[in-house]
Amino acid sequence: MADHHDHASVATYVKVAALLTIITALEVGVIYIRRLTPILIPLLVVMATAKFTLVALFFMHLRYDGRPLSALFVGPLIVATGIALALATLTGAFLVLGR
Amino acid sequence: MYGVSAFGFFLLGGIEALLIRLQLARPDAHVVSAQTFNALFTMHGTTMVFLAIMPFSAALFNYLVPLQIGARDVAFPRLNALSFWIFLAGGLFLNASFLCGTPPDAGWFGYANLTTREFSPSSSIDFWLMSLQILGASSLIASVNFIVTILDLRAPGLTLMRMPLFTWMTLIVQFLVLLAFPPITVGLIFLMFDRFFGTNFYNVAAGGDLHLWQHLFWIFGHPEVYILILPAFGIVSEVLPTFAGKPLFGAPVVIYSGVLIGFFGFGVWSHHMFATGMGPVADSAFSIATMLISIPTGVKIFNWLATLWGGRLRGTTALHFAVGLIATFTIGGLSGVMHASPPVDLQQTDTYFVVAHLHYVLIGGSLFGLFAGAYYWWPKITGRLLDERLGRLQFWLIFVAFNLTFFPQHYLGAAGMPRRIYTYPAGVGWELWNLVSSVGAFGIALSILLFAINAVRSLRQPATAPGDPWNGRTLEWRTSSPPPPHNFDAIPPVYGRDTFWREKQNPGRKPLAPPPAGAANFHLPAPSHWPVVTALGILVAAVGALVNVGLVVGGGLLTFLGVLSFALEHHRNPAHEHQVGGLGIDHRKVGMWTFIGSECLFFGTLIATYMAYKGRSVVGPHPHEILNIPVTSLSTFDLLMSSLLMVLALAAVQRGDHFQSRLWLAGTAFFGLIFLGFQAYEFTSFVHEGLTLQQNLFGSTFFVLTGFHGAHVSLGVLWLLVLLVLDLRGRLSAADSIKVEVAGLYWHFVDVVWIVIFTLIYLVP
Repeated sequence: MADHHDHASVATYVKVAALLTIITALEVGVIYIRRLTPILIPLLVVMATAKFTLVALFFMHLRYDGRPLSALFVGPLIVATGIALALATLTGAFLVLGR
Repeated sequence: MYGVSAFGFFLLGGIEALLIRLQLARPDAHVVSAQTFNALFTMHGTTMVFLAIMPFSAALFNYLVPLQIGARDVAFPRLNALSFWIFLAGGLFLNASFLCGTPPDAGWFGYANLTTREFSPSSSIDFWLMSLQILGASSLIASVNFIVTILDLRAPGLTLMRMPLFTWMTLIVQFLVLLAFPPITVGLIFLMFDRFFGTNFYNVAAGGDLHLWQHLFWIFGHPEVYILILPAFGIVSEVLPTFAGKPLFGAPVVIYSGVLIGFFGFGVWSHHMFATGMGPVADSAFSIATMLISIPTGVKIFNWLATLWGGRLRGTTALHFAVGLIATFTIGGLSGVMHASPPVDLQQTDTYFVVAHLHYVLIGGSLFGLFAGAYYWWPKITGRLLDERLGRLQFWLIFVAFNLTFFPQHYLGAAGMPRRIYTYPAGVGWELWNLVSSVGAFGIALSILLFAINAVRSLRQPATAPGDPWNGRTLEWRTSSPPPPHNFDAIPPVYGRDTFWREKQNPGRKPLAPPPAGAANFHLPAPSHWPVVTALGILVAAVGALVNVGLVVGGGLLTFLGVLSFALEHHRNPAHEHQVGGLGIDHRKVGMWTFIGSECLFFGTLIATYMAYKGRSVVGPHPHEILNIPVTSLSTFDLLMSSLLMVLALAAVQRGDHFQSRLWLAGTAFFGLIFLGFQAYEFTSFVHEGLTLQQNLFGSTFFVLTGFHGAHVSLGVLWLLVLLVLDLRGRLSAADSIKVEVAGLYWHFVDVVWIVIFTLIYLVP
């Protein structure tokens, strides 16, 4: 595995930035649409995840760099998400498990 | 340096323990006052965990990991020095509390709200929380260094599954440090803000939840147990095969067990909190997880026993300690499994039964393991052998004295003696076992004295130990004792587990020839004083936090100067340009990704706290009354676009296009400044509308979360400006693009964190 990988072209970076802008606009837009209220939280989470993934894959080059770097990021991310959800649940923010 | 400092702190912690045992030896004793007793058990626990056992392990990591993986040094030698000096600064700062007459006295666990300003008005807790943050920074830096070293600097052929067990356990421990320290750091930051700035994180009257501290502490605290014990497991897994003359039984299973212990270690923390009333669902989940984690631990013990079975045992001191660990740790492990049952745990919580359990794990486990390692690797490190007869005498003395000290504490706990009481009345049935326990403690002290005598006697002898005095198996025994500064004249090739031992077992087989390497081929790190300057800056800032804000600023500037000079010290030094290791990736890039992993936990904890406290403010303003989504949308857009400029800057540097690289670097920094401007506007308008750090829980959680994100953006802007200045001075070429890439990774991470914050804090109703 070489250190210098072929990263995305400038055109790809610009497309990703455009996508990020559009998703951000959608995020802000959906919170004002009353009919989407029942699915608002999952919708926002999906859009934020899409933005997060785009930046990680293209701007942070995980799409082009080796798997070890992805593992170094995704592993702690999973642990962090798990602990954050558990902590919020245990302190009563989400009563997913009940008391 | 780690080893000597750790031994000094170990003696200090030991003296504290002896004073505790003197006080408890007889009923109604008055050797020390209740207040002093509180300080003694607090400082004993904190010292032994952070200043003795952890740095003892760090000493072995430093010395042995590069040798075991066939490397010349760690990936970042100057960073290694920085870890040490910061550790020393933290240790000295903590113990300076004695000189000021205000030693910490709220227990090593520092439960809120014992630690808040209301109940601990002196500076005792300030010493404790500042030093723990300093020590945490040291551990975090070291963990990044060792992870990169192990992943990227292994000798040719040394695959992960061929790595020695000690190196494997080191790798797992470093990941535990990386992921377990951020939550406690966040908990300490909350405490610091509560004490210094009047925030409400642990203020029940404002809606704060004291369980939050316990969760944050034990999310760290339980993995910390494995941070302390896994190095010992690694040592035992090296010592037993060597002195049994057999390969380690089921080595891959021992590795997987270690990995599982590390992973499960993050899912059992709340078994320390059964007594807080978490409810049956949470109790059941953590009870099951705790029972599960005992399985891989038990697997290791059977693997060790199977390694001994049928071996040609050589009864060295190291083997004595290793076998002693199996025996005593098993007792501690079994009493630990008992705590997995909430009804049983409720009976044992805060009794001496728990004290017995934890000492069986940490002395019978960690300390016995470290002694096994000390006797095993002493000749490699010093070139001298320790006296084996004196060593065996020390082992039997500590083995008997240790059991004499702590086994009776099971009885005391079962008889209802609470922890942390400074005295007890006569006639309650605790006198005999307390006296026995205290006698045993002095036996332990005597055994440590024997070790010190043995070490001093050995160091006075000429260095005549051979390179391989034990018929060892791993690469460190292949070089001289002590090794040359560059470790190996030529990096030895590896073609399987225990390559060196196999070569010795088959003398007819010609060893693989190492690749030729002359002295000119290896670059040894030049000494640097910037790590000392940086650590000094941190120490000055910590002292300033207690006495004078001017010192905080001065210390901060000194730290900044140290870090900047540290970073630029070897800029464009040809010997530092090529840092690509076995993974085919530059060390600095692997290091930044590793650090980002830790940051995930840091921000994850901050965000989780915001979510946990959402809607709990007892007074306004509340989020929906004050958050300005249109303005924040603009700042979010600005930050996202800064990431675009950052990748354009990197591409330009890689092409050697100075005009564009300067343009995009300046643009990224400018966009970062705009974001900070938005944040300053938002903060100012919130304060005008009545939302301050102290106003309510929303104010505390919001300002601390977004403030720390803003601090990260500010650091990123500074970093970009330094790169821009280098570029403007013609000192940033395509060969330096890795530096821009690493800065870019940090910048993009700050960006993705904001994506999460924007959604969860601003958009989710």
